[in-house]
Amino acid sequence: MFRKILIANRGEIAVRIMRTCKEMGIAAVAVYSEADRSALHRQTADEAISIGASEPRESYLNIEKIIAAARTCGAEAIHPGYGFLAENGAFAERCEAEGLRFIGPPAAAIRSLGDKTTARRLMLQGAVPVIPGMTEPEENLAALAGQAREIGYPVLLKAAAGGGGKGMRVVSDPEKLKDAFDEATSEAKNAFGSGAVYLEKYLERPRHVEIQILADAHGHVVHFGERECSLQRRHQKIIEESPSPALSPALREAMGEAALSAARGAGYVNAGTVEFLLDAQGRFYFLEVNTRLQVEHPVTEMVTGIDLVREQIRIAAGEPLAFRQEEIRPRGHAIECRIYAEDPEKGFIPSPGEILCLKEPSGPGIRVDSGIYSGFTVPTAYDPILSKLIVHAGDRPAAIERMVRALSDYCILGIRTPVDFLLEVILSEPFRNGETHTRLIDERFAGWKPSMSRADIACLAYAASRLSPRKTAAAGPGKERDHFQSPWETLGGWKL
Amino acid sequence: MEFPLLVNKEQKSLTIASLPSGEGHTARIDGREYRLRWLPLNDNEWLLDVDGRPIRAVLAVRGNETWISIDGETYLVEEPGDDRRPRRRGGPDDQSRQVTPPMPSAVIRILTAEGDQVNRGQSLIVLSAMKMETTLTAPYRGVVKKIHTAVGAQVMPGVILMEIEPAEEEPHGT
Repeated sequence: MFRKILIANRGEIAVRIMRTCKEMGIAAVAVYSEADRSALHRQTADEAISIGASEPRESYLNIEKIIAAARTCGAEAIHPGYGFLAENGAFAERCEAEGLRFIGPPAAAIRSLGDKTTARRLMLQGAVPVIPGMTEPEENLAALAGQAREIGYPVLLKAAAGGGGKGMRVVSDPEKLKDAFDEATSEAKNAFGSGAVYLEKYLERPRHVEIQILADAHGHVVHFGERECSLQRRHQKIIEESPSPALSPALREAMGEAALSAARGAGYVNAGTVEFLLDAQGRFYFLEVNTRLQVEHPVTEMVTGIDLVREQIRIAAGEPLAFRQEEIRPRGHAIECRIYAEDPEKGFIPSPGEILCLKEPSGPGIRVDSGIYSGFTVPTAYDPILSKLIVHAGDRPAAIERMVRALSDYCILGIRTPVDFLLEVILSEPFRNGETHTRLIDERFAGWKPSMSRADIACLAYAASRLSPRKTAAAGPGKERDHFQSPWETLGGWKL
Repeated sequence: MEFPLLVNKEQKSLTIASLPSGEGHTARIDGREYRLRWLPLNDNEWLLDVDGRPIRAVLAVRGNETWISIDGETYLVEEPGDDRRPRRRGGPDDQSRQVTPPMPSAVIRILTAEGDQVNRGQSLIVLSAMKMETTLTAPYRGVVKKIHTAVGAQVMPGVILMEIEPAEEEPHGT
């Protein structure tokens, strides 16, 4: 087993991986950019190495700097987390060339599956159903427009190297294709280093269902059942759950088998996720393979009781899988809410800034994977994910109640977050009924405004704070309020 | 004694009076009356007793804004007149006519040049924040008078990136 692992990532996922490293007795090394000098992942590590400027290209996406850091600290392996270099074949190859173990699939599998058009070809060969669309990326706009006419609008423009909704645009109107193409290409180039895009038929209201797999280096592949990730905004998941309310045992087995054959066909090793779209008739279509740990992996961990990061590390160290397919028995129901620095009232635009106060929920069946703390300034340079709130309970209704309770106890002040928005979505009829699809948030929650149901209480709390004598100088009028005197202060002990 | 408050930019009128010692306060908000007591727990937390019901409130202050979280809902409370930051000039209408970023961002591309004629809705500037791109479009038809930014610049909300002189006749409703 490794003695030291470098985590080539930041934020909540870096912290989460370090936790498992500590539990395994492995030293965890953080890398951090200038913007992350005081980030939580840096504090959590056993050792931390500065790797340069805030721009991802200068730090977290910079292969030379990451490799140099690993050499400096004597790490034996690198965990890439998700995003950044996690699905970069060149990085995986470079690690192996430098004698560093890459905790993820072999470079060849990242390349063939990570490139979505190649993956589609592989799936077609393996008779896994795919959505009508292109099997090659296209850089020429005119050629792309021809393809779009052939597939039929609406079409979905996607980055060939991408994920997480970056470089993705729905185009319903041929005249809008050019703008969408320019934006998607540039966004993809920034996020993944490659601007290649391709087109797919856009399905109107599908569910997004994915299968988690693990494969060891000895030819064993198992799947962990599904996660349903239909609730998305800006093509990015926001609520995930397992099991999916839409899957029958037969459908689950069919999708599981499809995922296993995809993994075997690609010579897959380590953790991966095979994503499908599921239509209202129960037909599923291959979407893409994510050749890495997913943001939403905790949902699977909660229902199976298996630490996927631990298994990733064991597999990378050459150990065989410790369980067979029939030994993986999901229990109960898990739901995850992603907490982003964003403003749901303003179309989910990012809301970076200083977190003035943070209180996290706790209690039975509650897990918070977080990368923030009170006083931390969320930088503008990176993805706005702050934390993930995961609950586990006996069944779906109990998990929903638990999530409502946990969200109600979640307090993040100083930046906008979707906590109150998520509460409303979780409590909504369609969610309670399990009638989720990828367009639900756009269709049902467009123009969402906070309910203001506790506005009076907020006024009372404000009054209480203004009339309370301050206990410490730091919180007292001296710090924030010495510029003026409000009636609350001037009237100190007044009576009416 | 009455105090106007802005809660999430909505006006609320709060009147509070203290009762004889030890009996707390009465508060009236937009005509509704509450019996209120409180206990400060620490710098950020207050235990409220509202009509006999205990409620925990978490508060944090930045400038003239007080952020308040109650049962997972977040409120921004301000006192009008309690404003030490320069106000944006012009009415709220003005905002939609300006080319300004909605969030702190970096300028990725500038799609027009000074002197260009632009139509309403035409793409002008592409911004990137937290790995997401947004395109700012022309709020009305006109001529680009001045561009105040460059590719690579970090820009903040409220900063005017481009001045556009409105075309002389802008028919309404187009």
